Amino acid sequence: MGRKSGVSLPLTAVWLAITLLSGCAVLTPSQVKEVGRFAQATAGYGALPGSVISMYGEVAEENRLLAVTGYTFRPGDETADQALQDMKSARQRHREFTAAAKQADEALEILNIYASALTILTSDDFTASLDESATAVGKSLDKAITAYNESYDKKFSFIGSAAAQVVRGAGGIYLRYKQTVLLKEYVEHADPLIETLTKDVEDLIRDRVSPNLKDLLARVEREFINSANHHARLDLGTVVRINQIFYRLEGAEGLAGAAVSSAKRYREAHRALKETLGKKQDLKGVIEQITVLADEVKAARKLKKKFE
Amino acid sequence: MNTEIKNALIMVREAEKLVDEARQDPDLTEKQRNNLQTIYALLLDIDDQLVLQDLQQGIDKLKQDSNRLATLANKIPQEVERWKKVAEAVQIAAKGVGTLADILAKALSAGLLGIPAEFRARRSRKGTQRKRC
Repeated sequence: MGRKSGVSLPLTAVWLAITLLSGCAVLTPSQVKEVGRFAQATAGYGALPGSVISMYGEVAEENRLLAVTGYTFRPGDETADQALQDMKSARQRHREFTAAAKQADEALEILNIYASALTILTSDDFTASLDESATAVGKSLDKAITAYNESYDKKFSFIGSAAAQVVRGAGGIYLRYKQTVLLKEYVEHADPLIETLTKDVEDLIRDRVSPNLKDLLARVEREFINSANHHARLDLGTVVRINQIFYRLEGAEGLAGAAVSSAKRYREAHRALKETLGKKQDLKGVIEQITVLADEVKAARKLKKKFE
Repeated sequence: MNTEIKNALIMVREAEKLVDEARQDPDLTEKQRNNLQTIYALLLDIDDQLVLQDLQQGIDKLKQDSNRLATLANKIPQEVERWKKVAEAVQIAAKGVGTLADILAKALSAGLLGIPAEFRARRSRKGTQRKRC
């Protein structure tokens, strides 16, 4: 009698705990899937604004090298020294643009870190690791019951399986519960920060990069005309090279547009994720948002790769 | 865009256009044209520096806001570490129960925890009256 109540009391307590915890929201597989998709969709987004800045720096340097061809050189005069000086400062500015791009990349790397952290937060690893030990406990208990039944000529039921389920269930549900609470908390706290950061990206590209790209295009066109007029004729190699500069400029403009629209999509997808986690609503909305975001970032990455 | 930088860029770019037009004059001497080329190159350098300054301001804002998100994101791995400890503790406890059950099973099989035969027989008879399992 006493033995039986000794077994049933902790079992009841654990089941009670499970029941109580089950009353609270735990992560659903579809929520986990969407968090994972969000992380996957945003991978590599952070590098887009940096790539635009980097491309600006490359084209600006090319433009300045093209300007050097506008000099007329004579032995003994200082024009060659001046040309060297121009090339040196062009290289220096290029390095500065590259450094600025790197800083933007580093600042936005946090978006990848954040998305990865969310994936870790929803990971199934913690609960899955409980399976093995829970099964081992169950088997051992059944073994003990078998021995007891044989020794005392009893027919106690095997509770190993139930006990394993309790260990696995209680531990698993506890972790799942904690994961849900923290996921909601972090996504909620991060949302205004994501909003600010993605708006920073939009402002950076729209106000500080895109208008200058247009002026840079005008600069390259001017330099082409100057070079053509100065040399009276241009060889095919020069023309092809200048044409490549125009291609890069077009690419930078496309990438700038993609970085801006992806920033907007990132913000919207995160907002949808936050609302879904908060309201327990169906995932249709967030799935759509993340799908659009994934397409945007994928297209932008493809564009970026084209110019690498 | 910063207003001062914007105004400076407008002036520099206007100057670039004027110098560009001037250097196209076919009546210029070689020296005059080279001088205009040097001025033009200098203007391009100023243009690039102004763009860089403006970009830097935007990037500084980006860095500042990114640090705020970093503070939050860095807390997540710390939480995860705490969970791992919980999961490990549950596993250790589970293994402990398993080991105890094994010892018990072995001890019972070996008769180490057995009870005298007459007591066993008496309990066995009584057990038939209150068998519940």
